[in-house]
Amino acid sequence: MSDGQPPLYGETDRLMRAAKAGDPRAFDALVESLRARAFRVAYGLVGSRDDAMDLAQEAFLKIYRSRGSFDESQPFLPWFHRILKNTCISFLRKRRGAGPVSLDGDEDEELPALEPQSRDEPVGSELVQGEVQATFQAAFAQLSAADREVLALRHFDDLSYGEIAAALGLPEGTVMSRLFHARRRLRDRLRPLLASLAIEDLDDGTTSPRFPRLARSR
Amino acid sequence: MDSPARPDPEPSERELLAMAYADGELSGARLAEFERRLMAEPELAREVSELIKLDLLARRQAPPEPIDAEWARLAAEPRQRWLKRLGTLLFFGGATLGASGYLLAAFTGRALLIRPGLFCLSLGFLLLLWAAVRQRLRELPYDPYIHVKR
Repeated sequence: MSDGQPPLYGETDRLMRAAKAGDPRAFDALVESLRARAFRVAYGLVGSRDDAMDLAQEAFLKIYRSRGSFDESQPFLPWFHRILKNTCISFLRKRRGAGPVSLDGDEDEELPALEPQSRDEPVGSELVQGEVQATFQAAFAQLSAADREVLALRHFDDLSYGEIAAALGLPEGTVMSRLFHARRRLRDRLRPLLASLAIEDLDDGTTSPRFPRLARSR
Repeated sequence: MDSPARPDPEPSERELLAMAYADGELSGARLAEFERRLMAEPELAREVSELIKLDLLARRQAPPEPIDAEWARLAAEPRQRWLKRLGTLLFFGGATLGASGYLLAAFTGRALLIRPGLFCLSLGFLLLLWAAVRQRLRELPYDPYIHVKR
């Protein structure tokens, strides 16, 4: 619900234009500014840390190879996200024996369950931390690629609605609607887990105290 | 996968506001107005509380971000892999060729394969050594024991 373009939006366009014109340092800077995001989104789509790193790298390689076909009249980020998403989906399809998808197509399909990660701190007083994680990941894995992408951008990458809109090349209202439906589907699958957890169980103090009135009202 | 037969119903203004509040996207008068509603509507507060729990839970599942060394290792991996493969091939190929050359020389007196074998063996060894030194130099800045005095 914010106005104006996020700062990264114009910067990535500038760097990609410079990279297309033949400046290798611009492409390095572009990779550095986007690789963490690429990794998180790829992780959301394929569910494995190692694969996510490889796929993020592969997406950048594809972008570099096809930099000549980048349309400078269009913003870079939606193109980047489309290539990244299709790289991840191609990977998943190849793993299952189906064919690859094109660079510019936009496909969506069921994805396999996420790979569990190790965590140190426990979540919740009654549930074992691994159980919470496994429940979340199983629910997340059942979502469509489009749902997982928008949720990864919001929750893993902490992007605002405006930033997600710029990244996916969508109006902010559409982003809100997509986010709403993706969350509803995730919440429906996690209802028993969410009911057993309190905000205090989950808030380790690293999140800013944005909701003082809500805490008082509960 | 979610493939509903009919399209999802559009969220109401109230639901979108609750989501925007939980995401920290409201500000100014809209935030103040929504917080007044929160105090008066327990059902709305419960809805927002669910959204915040989901947000906090999802954030905890975010993968740990790769460190620079991991990216550097990944970027250099294809070259390093080929260097090691070529080095190993030349080393063992050269050793086999050299050994065959010695056997051939012992039986026929013709030392044709010894030199090429030794050349491949040496080249393979140098490539493997180069790969090992290259890898060590790249990892040196990230070695936690580098400043430890024994």
